[in-house]
Amino acid sequence: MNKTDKYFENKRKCMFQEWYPTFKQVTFSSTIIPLPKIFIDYLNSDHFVSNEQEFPQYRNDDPEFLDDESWSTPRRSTIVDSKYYQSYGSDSDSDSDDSDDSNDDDKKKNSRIIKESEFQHLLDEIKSIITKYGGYVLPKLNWSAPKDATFMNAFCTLKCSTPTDVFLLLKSSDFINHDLAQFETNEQDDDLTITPYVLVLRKWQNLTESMEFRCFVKDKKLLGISQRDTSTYYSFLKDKKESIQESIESFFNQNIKDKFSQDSYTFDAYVTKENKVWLIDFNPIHPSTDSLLFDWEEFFPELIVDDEESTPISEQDKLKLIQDLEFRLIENREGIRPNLAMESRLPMDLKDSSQSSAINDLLEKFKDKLQ
Amino acid sequence: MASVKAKPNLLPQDIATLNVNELNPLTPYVISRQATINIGTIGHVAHGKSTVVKAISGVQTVRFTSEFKRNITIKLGYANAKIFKCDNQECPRPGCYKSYRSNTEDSPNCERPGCGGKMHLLRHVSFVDCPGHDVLMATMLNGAAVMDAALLLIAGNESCPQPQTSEHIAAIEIMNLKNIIILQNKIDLVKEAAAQEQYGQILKFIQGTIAEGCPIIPISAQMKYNIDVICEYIVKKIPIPPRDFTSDPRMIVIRSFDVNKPGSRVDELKGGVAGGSILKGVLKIGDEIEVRPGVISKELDGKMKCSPIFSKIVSLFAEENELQYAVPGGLIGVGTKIDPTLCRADRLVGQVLGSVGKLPEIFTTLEVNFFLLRRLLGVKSEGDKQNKVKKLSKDDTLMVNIGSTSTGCRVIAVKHDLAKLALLTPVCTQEGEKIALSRRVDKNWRLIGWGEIQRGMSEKA
Repeated sequence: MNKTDKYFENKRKCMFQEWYPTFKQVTFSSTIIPLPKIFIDYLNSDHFVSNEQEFPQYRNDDPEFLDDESWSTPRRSTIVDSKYYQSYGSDSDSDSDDSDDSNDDDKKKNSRIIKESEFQHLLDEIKSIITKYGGYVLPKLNWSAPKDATFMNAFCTLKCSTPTDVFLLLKSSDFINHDLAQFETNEQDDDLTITPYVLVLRKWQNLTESMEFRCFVKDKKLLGISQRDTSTYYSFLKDKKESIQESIESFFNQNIKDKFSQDSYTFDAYVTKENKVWLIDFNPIHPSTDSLLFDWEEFFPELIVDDEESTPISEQDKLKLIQDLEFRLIENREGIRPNLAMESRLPMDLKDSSQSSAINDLLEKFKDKLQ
Repeated sequence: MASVKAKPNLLPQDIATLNVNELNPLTPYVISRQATINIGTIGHVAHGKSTVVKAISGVQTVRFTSEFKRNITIKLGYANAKIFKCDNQECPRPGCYKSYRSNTEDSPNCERPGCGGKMHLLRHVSFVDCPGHDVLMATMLNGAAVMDAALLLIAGNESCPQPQTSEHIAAIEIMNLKNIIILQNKIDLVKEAAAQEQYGQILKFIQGTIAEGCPIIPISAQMKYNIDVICEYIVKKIPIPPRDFTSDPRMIVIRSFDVNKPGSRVDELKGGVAGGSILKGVLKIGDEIEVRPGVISKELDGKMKCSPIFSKIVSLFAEENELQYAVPGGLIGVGTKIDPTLCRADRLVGQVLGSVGKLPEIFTTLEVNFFLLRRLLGVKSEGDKQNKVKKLSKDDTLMVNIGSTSTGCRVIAVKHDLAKLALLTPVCTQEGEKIALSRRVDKNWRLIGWGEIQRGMSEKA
């Protein structure tokens, strides 16, 4: 259990398996699979290979291209610094620096090599659920879907048609990592021991992003609704604002308010063209939940921690506490904005350049090829 | 905000009389509506980067919360601004220079009391957050300058250099930016002597770097002090970039969406919208376009299939301004007749949009000549085995960045420094292009090396 996180209890109650049985009727069809330790080890392991049969394949008419016999002659237009780059002798595959790679860190937790066939039962179960849901599912763990890893999906979405599609997404996602850091698994446990983790497979829905809303609840009172895709202006939302708000409010009063175990939380809702509301999921009042068009301070000023880094703020600059339901939309067309979530499509080395010296290093080492 | 339609004071664009050979980045019909010069803003967020961009462009930047804190991290995107000069000869500099939002009419009145002059539009610039990792990656891979100039921000109330500053200079060097303006921000918080001293430190620091000799302007973005000087320098010191307006147009898609009201009738349905930056050429309303690789689908036999999308441009816009034609510079929105459901939720990100039949090939498998780092970047300790980059082997699952595209791949075969990679999503690219390779290490994607495309295999027709 995550002891350092004081909001953990609230977070725990927002786990899929905690709320799904109660809200089954008002959310998308889903199946929960409790996960054995071996699968968690598999997700945690750096060992990441895909087998030929399962990896998505395109038709080709040049089988030669795919074998390991026919190779082109490298252009050799680039010479790199051997201080930084591995070298490849013409008749030896081995590089002195690299010869001892495989054995010594095998014991380390995240280098355990697990083949997919070692959890065949789970594989079969995933397959049959995919079939049950008509061929396509969306995967997630206790809290998160691997939304940051859509580049690891042939359709560039979370749409999965095989267990391999599911594994590729889960193993590539930082959001999934975040979930996997919430509970410790016991190293001594048997591979088949069931962990607190679950794999959730939901029937694939091609939702319209514009109709997803995040709702903020404090002390059982619905206080805020925010457009979920905050990077886009949808001109039609303004006219529908009132009816969407009414639908969400009545949905909340009838289906959520007195049924959810917590008093303060957020939930995501999807509103259909007939103004019917579906529950997508719950999220905790937690720094890791995106407050979108609101500031947490507007709902929970008591949670805000001022630290040394923050400049002192005057009374009048403090944000007003929200006491009655407020519905926020992007109201101006400001043109194309980059989707900042796309950062996850780049290696970590490039993500946090302002904070580390990795960037210098990188630039130094890449210089050769730029000349 | 007023209705988006009300833009009577922008110059009308007319495709019928358009001659692309006569266009340049200062053509009034172009800059009335869209930015043509890209300026990177480089500096630490805490040094007031977003305040500077807001002071010049009037655009509020997006805020993102990661913790229950005030003064949360501010991430920038793009913001466009028009820069004007008063036409009254008597109007003193630098106050005669002024910047306004991108949707401002082309000749507003001078704000100086009693001046009576009209402001004359000189430039339309797009500020891009830098190093902006995508920009850096694209530059590193292609060597092309994405930015035309940079504003480098230094906090006036801290000593120089701060640790980040040398990294920022390094980034400027790699981006090959020769036109730099250094801004000594928060000058209102320090005494004049301290500002002078820091000015000396900066001069010393940039000696021998790419930034040597560049102007240093003391400003206060908060108090809007010397913003007019920045404008004057942008006009006078940043040369007009050469642009290719005559080639077949090509745009990298960075956003795509479906803007329809759910349940709209077929006849009122709007086509999908793609947003991105034009690399070359001019896109015009009515143009027949192709998007590659297009739609990815799964066949009954389990094989994947990709089908390029053919469509037509029905609208163009830059920020709030509607366009008849769009040139390279800033971010452009392209309204099409593409089935909107194909554009939902950024599904077309990384794809290439351009004239029919004129785009590079679509490859599903690549053969690359690769170079692996010995160690992961940014790791100082030599002895640490964990940070050694392991060789590529068959079946490895990697992330590849090709131009602005990211996708997964499986290593099919390796021989010496050659590898064959099966791509998860086909990529529109060409032989000779550079790619970056990353592997999952300690549960993070880490850069392990790069490669050059030797040859690619297309899908069987």
